Amino acid sequence: MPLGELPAFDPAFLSRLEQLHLSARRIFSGRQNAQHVSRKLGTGTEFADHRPYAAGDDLRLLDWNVYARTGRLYTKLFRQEEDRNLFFLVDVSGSMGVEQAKFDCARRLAACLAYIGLHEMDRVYLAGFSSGITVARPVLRGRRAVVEMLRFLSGLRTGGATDLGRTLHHFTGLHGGKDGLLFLVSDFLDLERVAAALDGFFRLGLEVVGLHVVTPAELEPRLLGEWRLEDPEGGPPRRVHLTRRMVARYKTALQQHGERVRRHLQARRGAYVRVRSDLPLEDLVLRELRAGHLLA
Amino acid sequence: MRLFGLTAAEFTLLFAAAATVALIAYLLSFRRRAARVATAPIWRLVASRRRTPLRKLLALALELLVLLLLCLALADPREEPGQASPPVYLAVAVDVSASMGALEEGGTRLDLARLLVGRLAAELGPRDRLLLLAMDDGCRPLGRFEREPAVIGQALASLAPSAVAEDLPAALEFAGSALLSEAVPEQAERRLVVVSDRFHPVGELDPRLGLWQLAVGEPRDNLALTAFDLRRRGGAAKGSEVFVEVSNLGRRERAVRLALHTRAALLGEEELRVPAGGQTSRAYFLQPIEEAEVMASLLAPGGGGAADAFSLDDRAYGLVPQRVARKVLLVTPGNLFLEKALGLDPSLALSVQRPDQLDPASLQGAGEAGFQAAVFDGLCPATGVPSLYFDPPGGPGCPFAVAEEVVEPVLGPVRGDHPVTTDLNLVDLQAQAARRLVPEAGDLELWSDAGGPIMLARERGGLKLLGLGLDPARSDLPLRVAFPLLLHNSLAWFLGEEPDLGAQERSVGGLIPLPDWAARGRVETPDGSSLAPLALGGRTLLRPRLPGFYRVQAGRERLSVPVAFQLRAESDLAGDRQVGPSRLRWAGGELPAELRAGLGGAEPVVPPPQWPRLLLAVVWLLLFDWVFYCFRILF
Repeated sequence: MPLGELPAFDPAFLSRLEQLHLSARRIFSGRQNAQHVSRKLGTGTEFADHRPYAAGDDLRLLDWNVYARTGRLYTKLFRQEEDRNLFFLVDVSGSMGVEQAKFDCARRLAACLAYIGLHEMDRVYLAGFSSGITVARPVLRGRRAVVEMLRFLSGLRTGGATDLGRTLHHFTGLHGGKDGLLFLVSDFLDLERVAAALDGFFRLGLEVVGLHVVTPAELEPRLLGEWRLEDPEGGPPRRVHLTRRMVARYKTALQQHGERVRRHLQARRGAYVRVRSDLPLEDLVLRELRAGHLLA
Repeated sequence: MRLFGLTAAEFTLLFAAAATVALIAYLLSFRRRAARVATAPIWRLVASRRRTPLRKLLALALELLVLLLLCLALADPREEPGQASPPVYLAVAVDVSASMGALEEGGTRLDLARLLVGRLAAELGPRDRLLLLAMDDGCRPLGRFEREPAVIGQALASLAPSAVAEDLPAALEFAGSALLSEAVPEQAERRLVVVSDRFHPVGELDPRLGLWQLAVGEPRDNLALTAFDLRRRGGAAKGSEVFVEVSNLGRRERAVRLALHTRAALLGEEELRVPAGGQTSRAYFLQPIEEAEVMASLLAPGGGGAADAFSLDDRAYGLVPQRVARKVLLVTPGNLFLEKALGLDPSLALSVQRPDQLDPASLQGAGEAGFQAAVFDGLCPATGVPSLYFDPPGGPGCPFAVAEEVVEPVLGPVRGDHPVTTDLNLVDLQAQAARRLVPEAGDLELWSDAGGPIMLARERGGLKLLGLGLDPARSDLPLRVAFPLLLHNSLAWFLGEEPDLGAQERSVGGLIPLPDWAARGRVETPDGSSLAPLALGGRTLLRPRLPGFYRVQAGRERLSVPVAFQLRAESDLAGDRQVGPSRLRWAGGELPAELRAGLGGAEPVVPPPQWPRLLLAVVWLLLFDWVFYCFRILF
């Protein structure tokens, strides 16, 4: 299985992934039958309501028990189960490539969630972005697309500066009018444009899930004294004399940045999960994402 | 402050090396490490302003200070012991010359000097030292550098005024060499103190020496006998002539009683008035007396007390000259210059002969009947007595060989170190002609022209001969003062007599020549003590240190030598008393502050080493540096 740098998932882990499904706060309309409840009433398995029998109704939907007790004919109504659009935007900017573990974590996270979506017969859209969407994969659907999904994610390369505004613009051009669930796997270090970009995604009718990938080195930098800090996204280097107080201020600023993104997403009924890159994938998926109510 | 552990050069090198290392480390610290950070936008938020290197500069200054203190600790700096108050070493030359015996109120001037030096000794501190010197015509130390006032007091008590003048240059040289010797510590202040009754001119001194002159006593008037001499009356007259001069060295006219006397009898007296700053002289005829020793004394008018506060110059001493008959033969064809010049000398028994009357037997020895000396004019016979030949013609039997005759010779100066030519002035002597003499081995050329000797002195086998190739009648020699002096000196040399000394030469502190026989005898001084005459350069000399009669005796030979006090500077009891820089007058009471300055410094405290304090400072600075480092890292 040519998966590039991404290791093959453990079969046991995959089987456990297959038992999960992606939960959304909203119900999206689909085009084909799938495993998600639709707003439509149809031939699903989830009971919704009764209505008086009308000519032409499917006799299999008659509720004979009610007829036996009341003598009236009622037809059972069920929720229609349809597929959803799952968009995975993986940040491939330079800041994601400083530490290989960070980028791997992002890709594995996206792979896990995409796997679940494919297993639930959802339509999965994969794309990498930095200063816009740099690479995109046409829609994938069905369990047989797992390999294709993994190959795509394995082929992603980092580089460039993060520009969420242009990314939104490109996304609108590609998927405008589609609702669904957008998984934004990034470090959100486009500080000036992140809020506007997220708002733009929400305005497209998407439910945005922010997966904020951070590394231990970013959370606890071991830098003191004279340093020349280089920006992997091409910004000017900065000569600084780092003190503990400055590092503390940095930590606070980083924490506040994550909080800002979280509040922004949650205020718009989105979801936010901060992901540490040093966490094992199983713990990440089976504990962190479930704790964040992304998986059920 | 002095470095005991390192030299200044070593300290400088060490600190320079350490500072260089620190500077290199400081410069290297600016080589920043590079880090690629994904969260660069976050870092830009918190590290937006550039950190100034001021703290690093402060840290560097702190490190340099720590290094400096460490190097200083290694160098072991200490304060100079006693630097604030160096010890004072004093060489005190106390004038013990004659004038210091002058009376002041309550004692002599020397007593005042003792009091002054005693108070000076009492002011000495534990590290100060004083060397006491007695200064008269010599300089002698009275111990070594002392601090104890009692020891110095004992030395002061041994001082007594002498009757001679002081020799300040010798004393300054002696005291200066003592102060510059190794006995005096290098850091000591060296003071040379001269305690006298007047100020003296002083030449250039070593710059390390400080000179103070202190004059004690008050200026006083004084009368002095400045001249006293006796001579026999000329011709057949009996008795002597006495010449006396009294000087008033004061500022007002003084009356004084002058007395002439012997040890046993008063010969006469007269009351004189001597003008201020002037002299009064008298000449007296003295009838023949039995005693030879005559004295002149100054007494208070109307009584027998002392004439003034200084008694040494109030008495003079002289001898009644005795008639001496020296048999001298003059052989001349009729040179009246020679006859008269020799005939005027009362001590000569002159016989004049014509050349054709000459008896050769009379020239063969002194004997009882023979002559003691002979003077030949224009002839040159062989002789056994000391002889003076004027214009010797040469020839057989003549002791002097004669060379050519020189017409109108150009004569040079005479040789001045021979008894015959002493005090002779023959410059520009005009002569019609002169004969050059041929010198033999051992002859002394006393006078010569450009071609050869004109005057030769010969001393061979005890016989003294003097040849002068000049005819007195054909030159202006007889018209000169030098002519009788030449005859006198020649006869004195022939007869072994020393030149007659005047009163000035027979003064205390001088050298008085004695007859040769005196070398075998002893000299009784005026104070009754006995001493041996000096033998110097083949001569017998007496150096008197007291005025009075010195009696020389050797076997049957006896001689009395009067010695006068003829030291006018000592008789001047005012002297130079003009105060000025380093010149102080003291008439009792407190010591001058200038003299006490610097005395009494405490014992030097051995300074403790400073390196423990320096290391403690280093520890504190390192602690501060650590805190400062943490501060830099934290904030």
